Formats: sequence, C-alpha cells, structure tokens
Amino acid sequence: MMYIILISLICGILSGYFILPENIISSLDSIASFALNLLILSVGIDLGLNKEVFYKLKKTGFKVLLVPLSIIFGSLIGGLIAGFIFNMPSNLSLSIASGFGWYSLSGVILSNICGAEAGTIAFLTNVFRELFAVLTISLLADKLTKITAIAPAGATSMDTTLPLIAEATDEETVVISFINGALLSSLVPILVPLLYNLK
Amino acid sequence: MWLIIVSLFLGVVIGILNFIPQKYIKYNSKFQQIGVVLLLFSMGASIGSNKRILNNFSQIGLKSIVFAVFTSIFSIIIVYIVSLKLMGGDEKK
Repeated sequence: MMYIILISLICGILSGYFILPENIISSLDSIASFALNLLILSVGIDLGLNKEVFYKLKKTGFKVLLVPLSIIFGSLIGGLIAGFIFNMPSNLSLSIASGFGWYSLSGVILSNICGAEAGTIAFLTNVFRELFAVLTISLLADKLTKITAIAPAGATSMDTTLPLIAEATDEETVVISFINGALLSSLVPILVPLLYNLK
Repeated sequence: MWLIIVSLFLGVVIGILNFIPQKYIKYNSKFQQIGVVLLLFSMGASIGSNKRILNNFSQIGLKSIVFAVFTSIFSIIIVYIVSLKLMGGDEKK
C-alpha cells in the first residue's frame, strides 16, 4: 500500500506540474471532493457493519480526548523548536504549528492577521504536514500503535487522511480519528489567532 | 466539514440497517482502495499545479518542511507514549 500511495501522489504532482491544464485541475478539485465524500460514506458503511466498535469506544470513554490533547501539545512543542531554529518569535511559530495540517484555513487566517509571508509559511507547513501524514500513516500503524497513525494527520484525520487511516488500522481507530479531526478542526480558527496574540 | 459528517453518518446508518446485499459488501474495501488512489492523485495534482507552493518553495520551503516535520514528529512521540501508557496500546500485540 505504501508504494501505491507514493506512486499515486508522485504521478499526481508530476501531471499537475507538467501535463494537466488549468481548467482540468479545477474540475479535478471538485471531482476529488466528491470522491472524498463517497469514500467517507464507504468508511461509514464499514463502521455501521461493525456495530460493536461503538460499544468498545464507550469503554475507552473520555480517554479518546487524550489523542487530540497529545497532538496539540506535540505540535506546539515541535513548532516552538522549529521556530527556535529559524529565530522566529514564539507566538508566530506557535500559531503556525496550530494549523494541525489544515493548510487552507490556517494560511488564510495568518495572512490576514500577520501578512502574506507568515500566511504562506503556515500554508506550506500544513501542506507538507498533510503530505508527511499521507506518507507515514501505514508505517506508524504497523511499527508503533494504530492510534499513533492519527498523530501526523492532525485536523485532516476527519477528512483527507481518514480513508488512509481506515486502510491502515481498524474500525475503532477510525472513530477515534474522526472525533480527533473534528475537535482539532474546530480548534484551528480559535488557536491560530489566539496563540498569535500571545505576548 | 458538514458534508463530511453527513456522509459518515449516512454510511453508518446504511451499514447498521444492512441496506447493502451481502454479496456486494466485499467490494467496499476495493472501492476504498481505488478511491484513495484517485484522492491522492488529485491531491498531488493540485499541489503540482499550485503556483503559490512553487513560487515560494525556494525561499520558505525549508522553513515549512522543518515546521511540518517537527510538529508531526512531536505529535507522533506524545501520541505513541500516551497510547501505550494510558490507552493500552494495540491489544493484539
């Protein structure tokens, strides 16, 4: 699966750069979001067929929240260190880190409150975070724990990376992943401006 | 975001109510694999054709990659420790 993932991604990047004209790209985007919704529907069918997953999850209970909490702490620590390397102010590096992979939104918010360059760094950082997640999810689920596969995905674990997490893990992890993504996604528009305004 | 939530719940309901005949269910995972390939291809295509990414890569590409890798790796470390110590790890292992 790892090779299939890598090959589809690379073929996409190359054809986006060299081959496909603008108008096809924009319709590709709407096809992609249609495909994504179909995929999520199919992931949902798997969950519904394995109803016991919801009972298992009840047993896990509030511990589900440990996943987004850990991801928030991990991202902020990582962001602080990265900012330290490049000598950036810590409020800026924290707010870049709190995009959690949601590049469109965090890029737009930071462009608005801090200017184009910070917005572009936030945008690119979170594009690369999503790429990093796509490339590492199956490896992490295999070598570490299934739940760890959610970590790099951050806010994207409820949409773009959810089908990959479903492929690499089990139904219970998929539900945790979805909850994690929904919580982190709702926190992005709050944390990015909040952390930027820290002094 | 709402469309995603609706799609997922619709799927769960279809699954619970067993709307899909048994003989088609095995195609669900094949469908997911094909869908993932399409999704990744178009994800790649929109990155490859995005001028904002290409034009800025030489100046802030390195910064952004370091940010992406550090935020991801520290998330991985903490989630891994927490999932082992507090969530019981993977039961099968």
